[in-house]
Amino acid sequence: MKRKIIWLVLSCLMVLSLVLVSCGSAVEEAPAKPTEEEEVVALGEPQYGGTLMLSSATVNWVGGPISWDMVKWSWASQDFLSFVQEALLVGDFDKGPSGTNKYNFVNTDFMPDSVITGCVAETWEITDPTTFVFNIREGVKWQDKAPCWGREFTAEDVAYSMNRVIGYEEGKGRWPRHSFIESVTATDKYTVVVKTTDPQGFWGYEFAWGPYFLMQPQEAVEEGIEDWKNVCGTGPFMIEDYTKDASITYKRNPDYWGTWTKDGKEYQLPFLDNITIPIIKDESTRVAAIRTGRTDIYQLMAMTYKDTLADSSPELIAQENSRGGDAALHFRMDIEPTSDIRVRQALTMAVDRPALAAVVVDGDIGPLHPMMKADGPELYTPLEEYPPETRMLWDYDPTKAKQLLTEAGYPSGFKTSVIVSGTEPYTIDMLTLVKGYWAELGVELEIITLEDALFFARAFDRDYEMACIGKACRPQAFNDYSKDHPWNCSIITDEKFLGDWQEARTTVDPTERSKMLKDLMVYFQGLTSAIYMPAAYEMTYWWPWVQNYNGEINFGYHRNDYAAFIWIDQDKKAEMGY
Amino acid sequence: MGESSRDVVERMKKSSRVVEFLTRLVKEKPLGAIGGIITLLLLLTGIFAEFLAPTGIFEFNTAATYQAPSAQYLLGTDNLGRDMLSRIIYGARISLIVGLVGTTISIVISMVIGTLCGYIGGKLDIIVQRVVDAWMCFPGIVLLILLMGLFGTGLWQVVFALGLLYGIAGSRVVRSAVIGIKENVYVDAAVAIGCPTRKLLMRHILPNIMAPIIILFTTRMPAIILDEAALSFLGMGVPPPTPSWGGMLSVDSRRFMFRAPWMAIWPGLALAIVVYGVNMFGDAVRDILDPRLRGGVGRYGGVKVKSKVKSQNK
Repeated sequence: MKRKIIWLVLSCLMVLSLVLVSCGSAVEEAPAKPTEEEEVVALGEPQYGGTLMLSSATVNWVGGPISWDMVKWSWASQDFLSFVQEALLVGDFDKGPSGTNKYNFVNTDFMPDSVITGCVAETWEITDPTTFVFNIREGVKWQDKAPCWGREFTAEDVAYSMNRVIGYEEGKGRWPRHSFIESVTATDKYTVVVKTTDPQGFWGYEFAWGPYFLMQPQEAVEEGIEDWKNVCGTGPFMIEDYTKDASITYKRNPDYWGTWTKDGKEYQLPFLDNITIPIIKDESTRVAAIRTGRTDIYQLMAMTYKDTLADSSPELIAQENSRGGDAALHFRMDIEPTSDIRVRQALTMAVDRPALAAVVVDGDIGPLHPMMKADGPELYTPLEEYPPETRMLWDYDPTKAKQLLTEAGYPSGFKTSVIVSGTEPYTIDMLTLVKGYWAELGVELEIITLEDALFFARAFDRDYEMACIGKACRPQAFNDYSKDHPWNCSIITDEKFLGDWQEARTTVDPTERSKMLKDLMVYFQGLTSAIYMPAAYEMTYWWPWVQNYNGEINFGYHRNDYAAFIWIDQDKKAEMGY
Repeated sequence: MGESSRDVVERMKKSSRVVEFLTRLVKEKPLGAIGGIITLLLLLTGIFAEFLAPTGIFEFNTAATYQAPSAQYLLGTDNLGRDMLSRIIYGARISLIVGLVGTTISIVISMVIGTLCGYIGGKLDIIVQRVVDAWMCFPGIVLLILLMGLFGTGLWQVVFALGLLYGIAGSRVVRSAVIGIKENVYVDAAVAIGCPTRKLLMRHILPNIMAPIIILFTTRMPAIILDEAALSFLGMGVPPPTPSWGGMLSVDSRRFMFRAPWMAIWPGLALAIVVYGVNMFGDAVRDILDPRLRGGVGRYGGVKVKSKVKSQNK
């Protein structure tokens, strides 16, 4: 009996100590970051050798490759394969943050035409709106390993790889993605002609640097492309080893065609001997790895750790990136009460989005809509330039919201519900606040959290009153609002919008297209089809010994081409004690 | 005519049974008494949450996020500026419902299946136990996801799914206990004198298996509360933003553990205290009610009856 009491007292004392610790103030202010002047350090001479330990955003999301066949599982496969395989075009490294900083190369789905350069295709021309001619770079070889053994890469390889994707039998229910490509033909050894059924304004994304069209050799397909040992490409690295749930290791391709010029001197790429991507499923373990220098780069970490990392590892270089596409609370425009635009406007204006951003995504409001991002200046219209009746939607005005709701015939509010995937904690937090805001209008919102598969099943079956779903950060996302498109969650059927979109989509001239898209975005926002939630910021971290890297992530659709330009300053690393 | 002496004795026995029970609880099982008080506090907190909580269940203050415990917010605030004390209080209601009702459902299911299988035996026992075997082969979380897919999401669906999950698996324990009791001579004697099965089960079998059932109850309740947290994490539990201790512990607090550790400490502490209290109370009740641990004359070691019966000789 006495012993029990003693244990009880000891337990209480331990708990009390925990409580006292927790009652302390929040994390101390991080030491002041160096000023811009202090941060600018001259880039040293490139060094060959070394291994880069990369905590890849895609691996952190999906936990490792499910397929080595890009056709079967594009976006994630592409991320792992893009160290090894290449597409027709790519983002120009010298125009990124490590060069002239014309573009940040963070977004997976968008690159301005002005920052695109040739990859396996050296040059290209659009001879007419439906004909795209690519001149293949001479001297490019497949990697000198099984099953290609270093043979030359030609236009036939491009035609084979692209036709394989186009002709691939898609599973039931998948959107017929490439039906607009009429043919891909190798007209000679180094010339490929792509013909489309109608003009393609977004041809770059659709088949030149976007999803699905990394070049995969016929030999690998015949030998069994699902075996990582048969993965072969023209890229700067080759897969050396893959252990499921452990790591992927790439090694340098000694015959890579690519070079880089710095200060008039040409360097053979890549600089690194190896890249290792550890597959660590637990987030806190991954954070510990970057904190302790076991990982060199960590891409797209949640903001949650920002303060503690600044505290524990002040030498880490950090960059904030907007997630771009994030959740949107879609109203149904085909059912009451949200079919009435006044109701949609009221619900939108009842939400204090800056407060939402400050609380949930920790600071700035960020881009208000994926396509309103200032880092896509060709498409970006500042909010101040919007028409007043659209600009007001961003004001937190519950009085006006109440008035609109009353005018629409709902003075006492109404009951409604929203479905959301249970795996999105930030989104659920935002919806929790939205619920509170709408309660002031008398609108009772039920938040229905669903397991992922069930969520998408209900979303695509239109079994919801409202749906909270992520939106991609690319202009082509307007295509999602086409009639009967599964992602048209608001059931938009506005004829002007659809007509203008069709026109923009088929305009090949980039300047003209950009203007159309800018105008279209303003009109689209006026439809008030959804409340676009503030996009969460994420942090990319790297250690100072990682040279020639400034937070780039994507040089195309999930393309890791920046890896060829990075080198490790071994002396600096040793100096820092790692 | 007035009450007969027998009625008087019975009435006084009943009231004194409760008093005697409580007296024994406090005197002989002080930790159990503390556990009982904790359980009672949980019950009262859940019932009177609206009166006890400083703020409303969904109220938030976006200007007061991640506040450490202070005079204004006794237990601090969370990532959305919600008062932690209010969420703990309202969370008690959910945990109470999930824990108590879910556990009760599971116990009832275990008792029904276990008692019937254990007492009747034969083919019924063989068939039912093979079904239980198959049920127990599946990981619990997989079964829960399946059940939630069938029932849909919602508080009562969660309660019933958890009750079913633990009830079927726990029937084994009850069955074993019943088989042990069934072999006793007094059961044979009851059968021999023609005691109906229902009466035999209620009077002879069930009271003698209360000890393992009470232990089952006290060990299951925290497991059920934590499983509700797992379901919340998968988006199948109590729908947000309704607070539950398990949800607060497993979902929100993990994300902000370094920034606001009190988001994990308070629901964890509440859970630990309730689990401890229920366990201690359950242990004490089992010990007090166990017939083998009864001492002295009478049902509770002798009942002192103030006799109001007048002498028949007068």
